[in-house]
Amino acid sequence: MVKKGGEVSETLGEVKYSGEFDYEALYLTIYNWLKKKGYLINETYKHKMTPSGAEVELTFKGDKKVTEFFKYKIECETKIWGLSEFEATRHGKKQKLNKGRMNITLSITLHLDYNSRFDKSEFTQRLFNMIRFTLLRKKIIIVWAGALMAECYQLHTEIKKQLGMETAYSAW
Amino acid sequence: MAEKQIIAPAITVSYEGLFNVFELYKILDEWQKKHNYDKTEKESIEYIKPEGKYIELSLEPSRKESDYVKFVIKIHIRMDNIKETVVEIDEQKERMQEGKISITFEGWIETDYEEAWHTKAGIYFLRILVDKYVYKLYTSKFAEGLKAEVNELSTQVKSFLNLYKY
Repeated sequence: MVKKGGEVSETLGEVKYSGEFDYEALYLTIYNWLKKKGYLINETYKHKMTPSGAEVELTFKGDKKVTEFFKYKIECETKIWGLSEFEATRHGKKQKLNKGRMNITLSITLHLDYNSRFDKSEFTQRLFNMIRFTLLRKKIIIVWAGALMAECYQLHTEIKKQLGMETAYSAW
Repeated sequence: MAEKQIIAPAITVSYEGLFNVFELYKILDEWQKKHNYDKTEKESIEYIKPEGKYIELSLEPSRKESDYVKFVIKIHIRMDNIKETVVEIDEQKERMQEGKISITFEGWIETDYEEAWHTKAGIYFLRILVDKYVYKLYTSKFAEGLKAEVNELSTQVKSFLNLYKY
């Protein structure tokens, strides 16, 4: 059996934040960004009450077919501890805000041959590996995975902006 | 695993006083783009505390020099007790921050980052020999370039922070 090197994965980085934020607005920022960029969204949500506040796990899995040969996947994993709600006045308006500590992890996957067209025989699998590791190697890493990474850093910046973080900027 | 070697030992820049966090981050980000580095932001922490914000960043921009050699600059930023303040510059009010900051820059060279020589134990051993005796000359020419870039970046950050002293 030939092992097919059909995926290029990378964890982009972690955003850790503690303080006040608007949970609903953060949710919409991630969801709308993925939708705007053409990703099909799969969402999982876990909620647990603890004495120090709610514990929430929210994961977005975005999937976008780019060509017949490869597709992009973005995973945004959000974990919040001690989530509580309070009322605050912002720009003269009363608003419900949240408090808590959170970790957001963003990761990307470039999925090659997602239709499994090269899985028909051992020969086609070997052919796939030959194409993937020789002819298309640079294009896969630099052009395709690079573009996905740049796209995901946009989401990274949007999340930081929504949380009001000081380092919410991207030159890319 | 790829072989990692420190080329530019840690340069630490410490500062306490007025500065602009956003502008500092912008300088680092734009420098990376200008010098064709791939952005890698390993960790980005921001905690709001009663005594001020705590910000920590771990950046590892990298640039492939060849199929065998890769430059990695490790930048670690720690900001403590960051408080908001408004100052008047040229009769215009500007939002700035005040607090402590420490930035460490390190330059690393990563060889065989694609792990092309890791298929078999014999090849791996051969790679160590080639690395030590043949590629030494090849990789050493890259070292000077990386050192110069790390120095350039740290100097740029120092100049930026010095601007706020006066």
